[in-house]
Amino acid sequence: MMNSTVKENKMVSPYFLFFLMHSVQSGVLVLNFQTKIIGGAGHNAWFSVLAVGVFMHVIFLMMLYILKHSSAGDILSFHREVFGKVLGGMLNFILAIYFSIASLFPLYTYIDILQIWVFDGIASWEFSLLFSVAILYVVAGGFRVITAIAFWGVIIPSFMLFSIFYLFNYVEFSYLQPFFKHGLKDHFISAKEAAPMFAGFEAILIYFPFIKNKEKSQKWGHLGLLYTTFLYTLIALMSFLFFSAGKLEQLTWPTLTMIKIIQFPFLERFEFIFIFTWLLVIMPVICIYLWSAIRCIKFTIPRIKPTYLLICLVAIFHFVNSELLDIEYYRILEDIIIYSGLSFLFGYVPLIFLISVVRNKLGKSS
Amino acid sequence: MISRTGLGGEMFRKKNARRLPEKSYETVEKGINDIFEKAKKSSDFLTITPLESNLSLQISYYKTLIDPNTLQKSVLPFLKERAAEIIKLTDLKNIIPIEGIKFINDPIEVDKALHEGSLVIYFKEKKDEFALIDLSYPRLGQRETNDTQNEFSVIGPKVGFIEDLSTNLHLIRAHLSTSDLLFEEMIVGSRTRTKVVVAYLDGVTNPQYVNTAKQRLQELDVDASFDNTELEQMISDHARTPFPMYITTERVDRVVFGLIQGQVVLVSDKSSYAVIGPATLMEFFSNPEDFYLGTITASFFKLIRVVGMLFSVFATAFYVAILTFHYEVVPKDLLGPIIFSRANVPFPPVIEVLFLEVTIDLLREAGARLPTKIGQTLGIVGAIVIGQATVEAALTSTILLIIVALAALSSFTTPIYKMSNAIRILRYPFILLAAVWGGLGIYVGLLLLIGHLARLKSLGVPFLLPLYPYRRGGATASFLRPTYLTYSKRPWYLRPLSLKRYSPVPDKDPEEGLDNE
Repeated sequence: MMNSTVKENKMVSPYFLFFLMHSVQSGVLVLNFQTKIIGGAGHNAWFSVLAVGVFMHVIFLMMLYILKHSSAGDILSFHREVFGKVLGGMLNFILAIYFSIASLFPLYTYIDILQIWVFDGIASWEFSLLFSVAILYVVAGGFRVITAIAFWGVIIPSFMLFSIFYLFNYVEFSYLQPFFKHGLKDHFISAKEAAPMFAGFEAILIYFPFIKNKEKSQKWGHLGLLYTTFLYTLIALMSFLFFSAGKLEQLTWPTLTMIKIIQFPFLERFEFIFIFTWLLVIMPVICIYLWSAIRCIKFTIPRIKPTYLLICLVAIFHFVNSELLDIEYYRILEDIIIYSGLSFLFGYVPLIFLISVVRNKLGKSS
Repeated sequence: MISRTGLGGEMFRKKNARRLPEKSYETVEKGINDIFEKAKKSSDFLTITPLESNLSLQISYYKTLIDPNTLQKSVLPFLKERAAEIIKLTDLKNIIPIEGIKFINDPIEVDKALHEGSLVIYFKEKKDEFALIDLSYPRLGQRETNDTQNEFSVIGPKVGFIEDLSTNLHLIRAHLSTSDLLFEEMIVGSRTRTKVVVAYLDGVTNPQYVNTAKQRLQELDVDASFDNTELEQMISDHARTPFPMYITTERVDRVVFGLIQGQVVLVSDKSSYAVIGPATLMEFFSNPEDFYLGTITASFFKLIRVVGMLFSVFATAFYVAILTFHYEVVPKDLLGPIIFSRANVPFPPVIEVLFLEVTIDLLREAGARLPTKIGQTLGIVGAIVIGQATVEAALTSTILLIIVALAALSSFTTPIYKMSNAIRILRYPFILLAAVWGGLGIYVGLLLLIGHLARLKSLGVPFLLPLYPYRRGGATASFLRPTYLTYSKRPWYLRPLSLKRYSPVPDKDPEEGLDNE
């Protein structure tokens, strides 16, 4: 049985929850979501992004309720208590598979982007090998090191926000009008397309015991969500002001295409810097998900050594990244990640929340 | 769950190595004979019989350790003058005018005292009690000047430590006139028996750091401790890191400032370097001179140092990445000169860069080893000749020569020598990563570097403080030098027992505001 209490010296301060929440949310989908959401509400879809972002706070509150009413402060112990050892263990295992795939997806996509945008001569397995080493080193450092990566992965790339000032020279405000052309149904379609990129903060169900001062940290969690919503809305708005509707539909990576226009006297092709810096954005996603997956398995089967588990998972990642290169695999992976993310956030979390409420009520009455 | 605690200096610690059992002797007589027999094999061990009247009284000592003047002037004349009064050993106390004569009967203590420069006086027939007179001569063989040798400042004191513990302790004690300043002496090294002093301010320094430092020193099981800079690695939290985990300095003002801030200082005998801990990364880029200059000037210089550090690590790596993979990022106008200067160079950029970087490191290493008189001349001539010739021979491009020279220059702006070395070494992995994966390699390197730095701890304090975990106020102070108004508190990430240093006097200009009337 794994010890459910976390040692004080492995915990991190409450304000890190801001960085942990925000950094897992911002992954590769930010680079291409515009093309997808435009299908529904067109150039007004930025409003759908904002709405989804606000709704995420409700789901976050549900998660906090679940966490509060489980003995060890995470969903793993909750599963075990409610569903028993076998069924709970299976659920934990499914969770681990979900987290592993969610961890693999940004890596897979990022290698894709690198080959399309920057290098054409370097093979996938070379990239994969490099990333595997980096991931191994970071995740083996434990939660504190992962938090450091999340922290710097938010701080360092934030200089790229200044590019918005540059892009502002090229905006066309008339693209946004008319404001109320689209109905609720269109907005709903956009919202459904936008929702997956908000996924990521569900990892809090696993790492919450590692946060000091749980009550105080909730504020930081909400702030993190709010910041993500703000950024996504801003990027969506910027893209809709920058591209016309017809053009946006044709692009695969609208964010990168938009960044491409930036030039400096000492630097052409700013998007190279942008793409490389994006490594620092996706690394927290990969590491936190992977760490969560390992914790799930370790919790269920305490005898497994986490180091071996880590090496196994990274080896599988390396295999997928270097062998399964067909675009079909990408589509499959993307579908899996989007649908499982959506069903987890909007299906499973509310369900568990209800169970938790009922269980709590019963526990009080008896 | 997944955690790899630091493997630092543990291999030196007691729990992993069995310590030799302490010698013990059956009788005092037998023990002392053993010790003297062994010592006599060495030609500098003397046993004399000073008195004609009392042949039994003997004095043993190492002539290389004691002060012969004192022996001739303050011991022997009195012995001879009042020879008749000596009946038992304790009578010596009345005869010899030297303070602190000790009487013991433990042969092991006698052995230790002999090696610390004591005379041992005893009766030949009755070897069960010994009088020890300390005639040690610590200043023998020490240099006279104590100017700083490696850490310079333009203004401010130039006093540095020397290789003598008592002088160094005097320098610290003379600076801080407070009884809060405590020295705790310990012995390290089974063969060198080096005295190491743990210094701290009582009521300021967090006792946890003092205890950790003391405990690590006690657990050390080494035969020899040559220098503080070596000791520092043995008690470090991590062994496998290029970064120094403590500040090693020869400047007295730096040590005093560390004490005031609430840090622990280690001073050891035969070492001109003091060790300050717990240290954080950004502290290595500050300099005592920052406090002698004005806030704005000092902040500017401090920023120059930080930028210099970044430039030194990344400049050549970026050159390799851009010229190997991403020449598109260079604007057209700039690409012209680069092509022009590289047109005749037959190597790929990485070979070119490694060639020059290794040359610079060779010059640095040669400069450090060459005798001072020829060193400077040869260094400058060598650098100019080699630089000029390599370009003319088309081995490197002129642009790279400028970048490498600038990067080398910037690496030397770091005040602490150990840190500046770490920075010099750090660039090689970045160059190699850049050669294989271009800009991506540099970013992966950066990621690994962050991951590495986040693991490091100095005396249990995270090395990246106050940047990560972020501490407000401290973070600004690591890049800029705050004014004396804001510097009145100790950095609270060091968890001192009292935060307040002094009450700042707001600098009020009496004339201020007159214009408004």
